[in-house]
Amino acid sequence: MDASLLTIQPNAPEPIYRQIVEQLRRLIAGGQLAAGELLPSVREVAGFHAINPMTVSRAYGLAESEGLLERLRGKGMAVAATRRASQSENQRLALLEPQLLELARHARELELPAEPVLRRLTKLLGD
Amino acid sequence: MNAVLKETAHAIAPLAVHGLTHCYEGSNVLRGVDLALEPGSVLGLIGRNGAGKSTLIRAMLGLLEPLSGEARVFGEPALKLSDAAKARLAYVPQQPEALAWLSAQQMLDFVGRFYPRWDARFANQTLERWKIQPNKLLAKLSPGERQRVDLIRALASQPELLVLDEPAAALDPVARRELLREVALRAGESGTTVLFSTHIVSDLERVASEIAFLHEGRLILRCGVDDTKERYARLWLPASKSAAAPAQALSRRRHEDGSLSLVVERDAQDRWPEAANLPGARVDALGLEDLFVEIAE
Amino acid sequence: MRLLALPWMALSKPWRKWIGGGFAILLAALAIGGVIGHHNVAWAPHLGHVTAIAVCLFWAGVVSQSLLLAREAHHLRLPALNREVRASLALYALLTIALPALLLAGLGGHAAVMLTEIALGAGLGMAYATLPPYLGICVCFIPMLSDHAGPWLPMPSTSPDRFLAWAVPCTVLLWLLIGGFWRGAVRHDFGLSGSRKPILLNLRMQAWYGRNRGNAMETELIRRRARWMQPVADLQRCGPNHSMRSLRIAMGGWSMPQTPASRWRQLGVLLASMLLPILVIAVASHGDDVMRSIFNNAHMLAFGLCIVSAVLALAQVQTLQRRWSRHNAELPLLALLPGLGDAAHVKRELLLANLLPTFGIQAVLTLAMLVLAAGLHLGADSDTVLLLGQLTGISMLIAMDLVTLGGVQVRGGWLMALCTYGYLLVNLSVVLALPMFGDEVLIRHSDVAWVTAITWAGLLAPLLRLGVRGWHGFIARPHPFLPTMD
Repeated sequence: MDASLLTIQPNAPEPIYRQIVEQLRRLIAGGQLAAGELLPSVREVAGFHAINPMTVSRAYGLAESEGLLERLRGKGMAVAATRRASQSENQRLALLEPQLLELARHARELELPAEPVLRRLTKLLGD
Repeated sequence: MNAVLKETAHAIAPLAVHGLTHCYEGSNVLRGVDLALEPGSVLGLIGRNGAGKSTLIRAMLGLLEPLSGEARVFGEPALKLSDAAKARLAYVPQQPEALAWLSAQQMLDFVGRFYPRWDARFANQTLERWKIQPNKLLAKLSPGERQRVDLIRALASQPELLVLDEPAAALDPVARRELLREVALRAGESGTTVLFSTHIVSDLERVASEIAFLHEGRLILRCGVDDTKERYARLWLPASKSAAAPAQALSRRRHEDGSLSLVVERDAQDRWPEAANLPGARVDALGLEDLFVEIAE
Repeated sequence: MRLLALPWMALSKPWRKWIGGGFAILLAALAIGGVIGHHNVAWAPHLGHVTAIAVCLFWAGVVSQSLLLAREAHHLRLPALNREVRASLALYALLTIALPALLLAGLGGHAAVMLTEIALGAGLGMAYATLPPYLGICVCFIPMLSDHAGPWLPMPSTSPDRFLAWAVPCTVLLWLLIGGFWRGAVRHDFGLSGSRKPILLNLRMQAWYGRNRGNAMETELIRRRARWMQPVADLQRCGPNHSMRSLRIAMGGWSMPQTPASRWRQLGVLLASMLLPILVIAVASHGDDVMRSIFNNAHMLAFGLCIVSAVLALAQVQTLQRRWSRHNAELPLLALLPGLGDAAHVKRELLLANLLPTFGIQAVLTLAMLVLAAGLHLGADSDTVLLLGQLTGISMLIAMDLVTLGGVQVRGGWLMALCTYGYLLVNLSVVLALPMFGDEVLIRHSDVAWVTAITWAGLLAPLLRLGVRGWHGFIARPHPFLPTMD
């Protein structure tokens, strides 16, 4: 994997370390990162994005404790071998939770009933 | 703030000030500032123009005699630093203008003789990489180029404490990014402690591990960057619910329609104030920039 | 009234006050001179001479400011203002050239001579301000010419008619030149580079820099100077073991250690500019024995020696004041530079680094002065006064250095007044010690000696007081690299 695969938005309300973990989670869940694949070093990521290496370490540490990554001795971080490329449907749906919550809030604010929103969503997903 | 001071008391703080006050021509610039840096941290000092950032930095380094309070660098009084402490420290002022009568190369040669760990190779390579003609007199360089030469001067001495006053002010975006990279990597790898002031918040969010917000001569916020983003949010209450607003808030702003915006903080159990659960209430996550605009207004 | 006020508008308020006051005094003096001398026909030419000088200063300082307004008027397309500027110039020409000439003619002067002389004076003043610097600066040499060119250039006091013969065409030519350059400066504006821009506009550019003007002007000077004129610092033997030399490099200015080649180049320029007056003396003395004519012009030389020492000392003070007036340059660098030693050591080295180079040159100059005095066979009292003149600069240097380094808050005007006073005393020492009027040496009169002693005490007492205050401040500072104004 290359450090450029990550996108960092420093001025987003979400802390940078969370942005990294979130993207790793999506990349692994989506199968773009295969089990056992090596991650770029902390220095590479920090250097490429001009961010504090401690932030990257913190993100890798969190991902490790969540079981997304594992530390290979002498090689650095890799996608955990136990992690199958495809997770259960529920796990993958959980990844979408924040966006769904946001959508629901917007719908309520616009005083839209559930029916047309779901219809539209089904159509979008169908295509 | 006291918690931070105690925490760093056992390891010697590279930079610490206590009860610092100073004034220019009768008006107070600093009104009792306490601040300490932990070794290896990158502290971004932020504040509006004229908030006293430069004065605070100069007082911290013993470049001016403050009205009251004390400043220490590596545990030594800042106004009476030993050569050993000076060798571990590098400072780049805002718009550096020193030694205009020397060429960039001469200046680096001259200054380099005084630093025991001077990295002449780094200096030469960076001059070349940043496209600065080494034989041109400093007076003939643009402000941005002079700032870059001075940054090279500071970095080549391999300091343990790097203090930069508005380092990005005269730099173009590419040079700014390069500087941030250099600062970030040094902090991560060599454990360099960095203090830099800026009014460009996105720079700070990239490399700082902590921020200190100076407002009208007072330090009103001191927090880890990530914590700040997670701990603070804007709570919006419609006019009908504005009476239920929590008493504790960093800022409070009433809009024309009677609704209320507050900057609120999570409590010890990581919960937002109760008013956030009222119908119609809204909690918006804040980037640092929004947070500062809310507080500084 | 508005027409009269026009050029003054371009001046800032304090300047307006100073210049206005100065010319009011000058005018009063002239009027008194006129009243006293109105019975004495021989006074008229002298009065005309002084009027011409006053008018010259007035046109250089005040009327020339209209150029700024004319430029504005041209750029903002305000033809009405442009007409007003022209009318104002005409009015001033009438008031300051034609009117005094008429008055002086009434006092018994030669009308045409007076008119030409005053018009020439006004033209020279205007030329200084509005011509490109290389031409404008020539005006500064004119007084010297009038002193020494007497034998071959007829002056109004000696032969009025022959004076007119050369002065009228010269004056007309000068004014045509001014007119031409005026048009040029008004029309193309930003295209003019430094060497072609009139002094007036250059000064105006520099007024923008505000408090740090001195530093900004110095940077500008380095930027403009041709490469071969640039002093090159000698970085050999600097570093932690050579703190004094290192401090001299860090402070810049004329006393910075330079490479031998650079030093020779600078010296060459200096010598060339010093040879010029000697050359003029040689020409003016009609190829007499040059050595003798130099000694005949001993007052010029003695004056030169005194002035050089005072100017060097003041330049050194100014350098120090510039360094200590800003906090984003040499001060933080030096304050945090390791290897300079503890505060007491740095303070000593800093003071010596600043004083010793000037002391060295001063010693040479004093020696030269003693040789000159011995060659002139002056008395001990004259020697003493000349030495006093020599040492004025050095005492100003010591006192003001300590004031700057000790962070003593002194009002700028006060220091300026003290410097001017010192400069006048340097001039005075030459006047007193050499036979200026016939064979009489003024200092030999005992009353004059007393007054002289009191005048000098008037300079040395405040200098001593400032020096002591500065010394105490300097000793009390935790380290010497704290800016003076904070």
